Amino acid sequence: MQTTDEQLNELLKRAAPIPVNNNLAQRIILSADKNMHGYSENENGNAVSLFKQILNSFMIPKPAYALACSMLLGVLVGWQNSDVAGISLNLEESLTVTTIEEDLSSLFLAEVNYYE
Amino acid sequence: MKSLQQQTDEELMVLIQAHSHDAFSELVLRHSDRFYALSYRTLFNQSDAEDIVQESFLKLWHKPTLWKPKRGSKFTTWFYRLIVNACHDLNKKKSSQEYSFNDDDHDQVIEDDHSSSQLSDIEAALKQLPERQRTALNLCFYEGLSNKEAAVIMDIRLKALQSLIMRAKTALKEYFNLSEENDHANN
Repeated sequence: MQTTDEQLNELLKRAAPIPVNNNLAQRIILSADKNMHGYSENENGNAVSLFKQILNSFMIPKPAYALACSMLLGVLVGWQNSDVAGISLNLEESLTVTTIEEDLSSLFLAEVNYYE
Repeated sequence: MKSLQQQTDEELMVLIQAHSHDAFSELVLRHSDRFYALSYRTLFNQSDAEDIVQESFLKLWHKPTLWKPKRGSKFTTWFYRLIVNACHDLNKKKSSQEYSFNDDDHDQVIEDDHSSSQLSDIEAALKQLPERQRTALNLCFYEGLSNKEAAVIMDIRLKALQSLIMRAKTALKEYFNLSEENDHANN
């Protein structure tokens, strides 16, 4: 005798009952409750890591720090000694000009003397 | 304002996404038995079935944003899929472990065969079905879902699902016919 669809459905309905779980729902709820504290810690952790990320975005490499510091030092020193440096530069320029003029006149005189 | 018991699964999920433990508890109390039943009928192992349901719910608790309300999918459909996939992964893991058995573990295999012989006829018949056919039958017959919903859960086309159910029923009919023939032969 062939098993018809109806007979098969009846057989499937008569399947052995599923064993009762051992307070599964309560266990899941308790496990989630335990992990809830981890949740808030995790959130704090996220806030800290976000703060660190923001700080890191302001970080620049050490060579760049060295360059920036030396430039700043140079500007400060230059600012403090700006007047002295200006005078000395002018003196040097005037001195140089004088010596060149002297050299030229001495050369001119020497040339005149030679032709004479 | 509606109490938690009056809220839909989807409304509870929105609350869970805001870390409401009460909403999570309500959802677990509402559905854990149904998902456990599906898991048990797929794995035929009580502790494995319980573990699958527990892990899936805890996964939901830790990553509630996995469920996207905008997609318009029902919570149960989405969670059925989660359970079906978890059972499939566990079966795959177990079958790969069975392949790696050496001769020393032969006794264990025999023990398993012995315990499976103690299963009721219908359980044994369901157990011999290929996993996809068994899942399709479980969803449509035992869980009372429509073919369309079951197809969405299994991520297959409607016709493919109907084909799976048809093949499962044919296999079961053959199994029971064979059993009857064997019984007659023994008598």
